[in-house]
Amino acid sequence: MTMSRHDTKASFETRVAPHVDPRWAEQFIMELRLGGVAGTEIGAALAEVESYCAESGDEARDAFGPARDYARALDLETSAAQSPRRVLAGALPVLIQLVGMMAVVWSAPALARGEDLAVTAGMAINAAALTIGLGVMSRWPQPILRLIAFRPWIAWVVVMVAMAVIVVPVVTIRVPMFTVAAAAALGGGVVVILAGLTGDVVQTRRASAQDGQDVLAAPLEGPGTVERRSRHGRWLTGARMMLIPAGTVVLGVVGVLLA
Amino acid sequence: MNPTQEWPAEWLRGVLELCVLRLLADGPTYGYELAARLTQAGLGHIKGGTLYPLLRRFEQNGHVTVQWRPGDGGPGRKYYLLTEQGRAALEDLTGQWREFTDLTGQLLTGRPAPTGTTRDQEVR
Repeated sequence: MTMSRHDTKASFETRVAPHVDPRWAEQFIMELRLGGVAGTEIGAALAEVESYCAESGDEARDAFGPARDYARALDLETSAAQSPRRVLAGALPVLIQLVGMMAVVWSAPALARGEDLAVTAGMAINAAALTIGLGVMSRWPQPILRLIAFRPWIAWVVVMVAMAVIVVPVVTIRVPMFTVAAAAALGGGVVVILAGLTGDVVQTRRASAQDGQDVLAAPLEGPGTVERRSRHGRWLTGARMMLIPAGTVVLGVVGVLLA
Repeated sequence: MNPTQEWPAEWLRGVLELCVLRLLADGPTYGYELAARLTQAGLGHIKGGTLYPLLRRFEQNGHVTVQWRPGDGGPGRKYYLLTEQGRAALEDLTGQWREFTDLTGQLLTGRPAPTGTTRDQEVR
């Protein structure tokens, strides 16, 4: 059975907590997820809210206060899968793939024109900005995710500024630093992407073997229900892994067509 | 006893832990039932946002173990079972509370504190 991501998410809150305001439940889940709490703990905490609201007839906000405040008051432990070390370990393969992606995207047009790839200062700044940005996001994911979740307009401005810092140097600073054979750069980029992808697969499987898949799960839920949710999560993970390779192909083709 | 009595929040914060431990000593129970019994006992309406973090601390401190059970035709319930460590905490806190209420009671009634008490000796 195929489930869309939206259906799966809505079904969890509706199925586990039908007597809880969906918006309160969503904020509650989000706050706990941003706090690095494991999916089973989140499910149990929400199920307990549901139990109380179902028997008392009270609204969740009246009985428990604002969702974010109650989530913090519970002081649930951060799961090992969400530790800074694990998050950084998961980000490294992505960073490697991004480096390969840049090499392919920059070299493909040059190869199409029959030229060497001129690596400019703008490209170097672009690569450095991406590396620093990804490093910051990996080291402090929760404050950044909170900003995106609860201050979306501020997050939008920050993203626009970040994109400008990343893109503008490539377009405006064209001082060549050195040249490299476009075919070698493209081939090297592909190898780096494949290496990063392999590392991503290995890292994800290792994390899953150690901690299991961190899906939302409520107590007393049937194993079939949790397995369907896990399967959907695995599908999403696979799609996420292919994002950079697929994006590289698309941008590379576009670059060649525009060369 | 007026079940709708609203006591000062500061008083409840000081005594809620002890009262909940005492109710848990009667046997495994779950959050809503605890809240209902506290209300019936005259402590007023205890909100879930106050009660459940307290139960969570009991779980973290080893005062209780937990067990999920299917509800009676409704959602599942998380039952809390008092451990030996929890019983020891209950006994300790009960003793301290009795001493505290004796002292405050004497102060409020203007009765002189009995001499030769341990606390009296500590003050000297």
